[in-house]
Parts: sequence; structure tokens; C-alpha cells
Amino acid sequence: MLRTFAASVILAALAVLALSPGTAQALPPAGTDDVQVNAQAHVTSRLGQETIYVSGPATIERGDPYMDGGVEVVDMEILSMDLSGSSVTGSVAISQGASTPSIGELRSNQSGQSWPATPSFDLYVQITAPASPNPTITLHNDVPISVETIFQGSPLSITTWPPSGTPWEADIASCVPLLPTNPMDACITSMSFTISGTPSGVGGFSELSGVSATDSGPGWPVALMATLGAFVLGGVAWSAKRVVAR
Amino acid sequence: MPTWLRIAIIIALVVTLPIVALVLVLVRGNGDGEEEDDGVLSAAIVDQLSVTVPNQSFADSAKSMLEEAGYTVDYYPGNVVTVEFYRQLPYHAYDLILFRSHADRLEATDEAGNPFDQVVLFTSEPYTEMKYQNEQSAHDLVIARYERGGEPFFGVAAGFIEELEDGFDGAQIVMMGCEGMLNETMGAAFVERGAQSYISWNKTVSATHTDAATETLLGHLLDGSEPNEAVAQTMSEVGPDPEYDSVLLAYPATE
Repeated sequence: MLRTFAASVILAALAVLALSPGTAQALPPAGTDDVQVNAQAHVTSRLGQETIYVSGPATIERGDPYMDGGVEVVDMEILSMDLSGSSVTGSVAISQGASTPSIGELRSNQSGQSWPATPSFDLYVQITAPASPNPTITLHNDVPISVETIFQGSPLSITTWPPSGTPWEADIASCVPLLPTNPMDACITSMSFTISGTPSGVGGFSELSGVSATDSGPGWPVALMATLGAFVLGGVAWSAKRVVAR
Repeated sequence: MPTWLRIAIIIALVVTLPIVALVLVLVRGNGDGEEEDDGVLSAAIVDQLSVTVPNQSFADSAKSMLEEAGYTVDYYPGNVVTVEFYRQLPYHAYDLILFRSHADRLEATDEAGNPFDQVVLFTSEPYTEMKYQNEQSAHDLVIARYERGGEPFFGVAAGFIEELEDGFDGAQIVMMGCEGMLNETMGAAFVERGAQSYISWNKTVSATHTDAATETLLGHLLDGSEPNEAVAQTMSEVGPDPEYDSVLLAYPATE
């Protein structure tokens, strides 16, 4: 009798746990995240094209989780962003756009389960870059730069927030124009970044290349023997011809 | 001048000129000739991090400290830090080199099943399979990325430093990136190639902490402290990285 009661209690507890969505690891409650951002953007303009690396702090505000379409969702907004870096022509700064907020969300992948979830943002930024005749020009985008976590070209779900070290990429079909169009005709063709809740380490990820040893032929003095020989013979023939002609 | 003599001279010129050119190229070593050590102290700041985590105030401060100590200083921004840059670096005969660089300890097994465990310094040269194939197949050059799945660059493994044609001739090496002393491969490679010492971190380190600690370390080194002593003094003053708990270590360690 006691055994049956104990087993029933355990089964009931397990059932409650199984049927309680995200009680153990819910999406994060409302709050703010101070994160470090390391980003790279490929920009084309009349001056050419360049990949610009920037880094710096950003602050993200989160709302409380709510249900939408049967899944948990957290609304997010980038309150501030202060990224800086260098380009071929000088220092570049990227900050949160002045007129349009960068809104995003963290959305659970399936009903009844908080994690894994998929984060996304529509970014509106303001870029200060070197220019002429004025020392700098301030550019912004009106078309959103839609970013999500991606690994090797496929969307990547996350299991914790903030997703430190997880790569984010912009979904850009051709380019996102930076306004005003004149005088630079600048345009972002790709963007990727990582965020981390702690200061980024100055490390990275390395791997062995798949290149295997190949016989690339003899070294250059030997490889050029035929050419050298032909050159010598040609010189001799030319000299002999000149002598005979005289 | 007799005809036969003219022909002989022309043949002699045609044959000898390419040989002379070949000898000159071999003697000069394919480009930069080695700079003579003229007794003037010289230092290099190799700021590979400037492309991703710039800190001009650190660069200015380090340069100023070195110049006040009597060094002539060459500053190299990140975009010039290529494989060939590393290859030519010994020819400058620097007495002190600060590598402000991304770095990583790579532990892997290659396609033939051979274990690989070396520290890797990042370059800013985009990776391609088509370049440096022999060094890639020897794993002296590897693939380095700032983030998983990110753009690939060439990374210089400890084996590449070991294979350099010229040496570092008593230079002090400070490698400010992550994991430079997680194992001793990079330290041993520099010392093998003539460096006096090599100082780096045993784990991940943040840019903020490595910049602050290196300024302190540089002060002690320039005051004449031995590398191990300078490291101990620096660690007692700035402490481990607050986020990653990494500490500076010197190679070779004091007996």
C-alpha cells in the first residue's frame, strides 16, 4: 500500500515537471544586458569596398516573456550601441540609429518548451565615417538590417541568453543602402558579429587546414633550366648570325 | 677585336649574368636584407588586434614608454600583419617585440591521425588553400577565425616560428593574446630561434586586462627586471584577469 502510494507520488511529480513548460529554464525575465559586441561589416562605396571591424559595448533591454502563437516570446530592444574600429580611410563608429529603434525578439522554437529559442533583431544604425571635405560623414539605414544567429549558413538556435560567442549574421539579399546616398553611395553587403556578456577574450578559433602535402615540382632554379638553356642557345644563335652577316 | 673573341664574350655574358643574379638573390635572402644590430635599442609593437579591438591609447603609451627608455619603435597596425610579415620579422633584429594579437591554443588531430597541440598567432591575411601549401600541409600555418564560422585568416603556429630562417637574437617577446602560455610551444619556438624570453597568458584574457597588465609589465622590463621577476611583480600589482582568471607566465621559467 505504502509502496503504491510512493510510486504514485513520484509519477505525479514527474508528470507535473513534464507538463510544466519551461519551469526549470524559462526564457529570461525583463531586464537589461550589457554586452560586448565584436562585429564586421562589408561595405561598398564609390571609394571601393572594405571589411570594417568594430567592437564595443551595447545595452539590450528585455521585456517579460509572453505567449504568442503557442510559444514563449521575449521582446527586446537595443538601447545603445557604441562600436568603434578603423577603416582604410580612418576611424569608424557605429551607434544605435537616432530615429528608428532596433527591435528584436527571442522566440521559443516549440510550444511547451522555452529552449531552444531563436533570437533576431532588425538593426537601425548610425555610422560615422571619414569623409571629404568635411572630416566625417554620418550615414544611417532606412531598410532594416535583419540579423539572426547562424552557423555555417543555417539558422542556429540558442539555449541561453545572452548567447556568448554565437555568430550572428545579417540576411542581406544584395545590399542595405546607407543614407544619404550622396556623396558616397555606401552600402552594407554583409554583416556578422558576436556578443558576449563578459569582456571578449582576445582569442579565437583555429583549425588545421585540409591541405595535404603535394609535389609542386622542382624549385625555381631547376624549373627554369629549360628557359635558361633556351636563352643561352638563342644568344649564341643571334651572335653567330650577326657575325656571319658581317 | 677578333670575331671569335666577340662570340666568346657574348656567350660568357649570357651564361654568367643569370648565375650572378641567382647568387645575389640567394645571398640577399629573397627581399629584406638582415638589418645589422648597430647597438641602438629597437622595439616593435605588432598591433594585430587593432583591426578588431583597437586601443590607440595603449599603443601610444607603450611607444612613449619604450622611447623614453631609449628604444626606437616601429608600430605595425593589424592590416600589415601577414604571413610574410612574420617571416621577415627576425631580419629587423628587434630587441623587444610586443605582439598585441589574437591567439589561440589549437589541439587537434590531423587527417593522418597525428596529434597537434600548438599555440597559434593570428594574422590579418585572408585564408586560402592556394597559398603556402607546403607550410599548410606541415601545419605550420593553420586557419584562424575570430568567431565560429567566421571569416578565415591564416594563423601562424609555433612550428612556423621554429622554421624561420633567421633568429630573434636575444629579443624579449611579449605575446598579449589569449592562451599564449597555455602550453609552452610558442615560447619554446621563439627561444629556439634565439629570443631571450617569451611572456604570455595561460588562459583567455580580455583586451582591457591584457592592455593594462602589459603596460605595467613593460614598465618593469624597462626598469631592468628579469622576465620572471617582471611577471611576478606585474601579477602582484594587477592580478589575474577578473573574467577569465588568466595569469602571465614567462618562458623559460626560473629554475
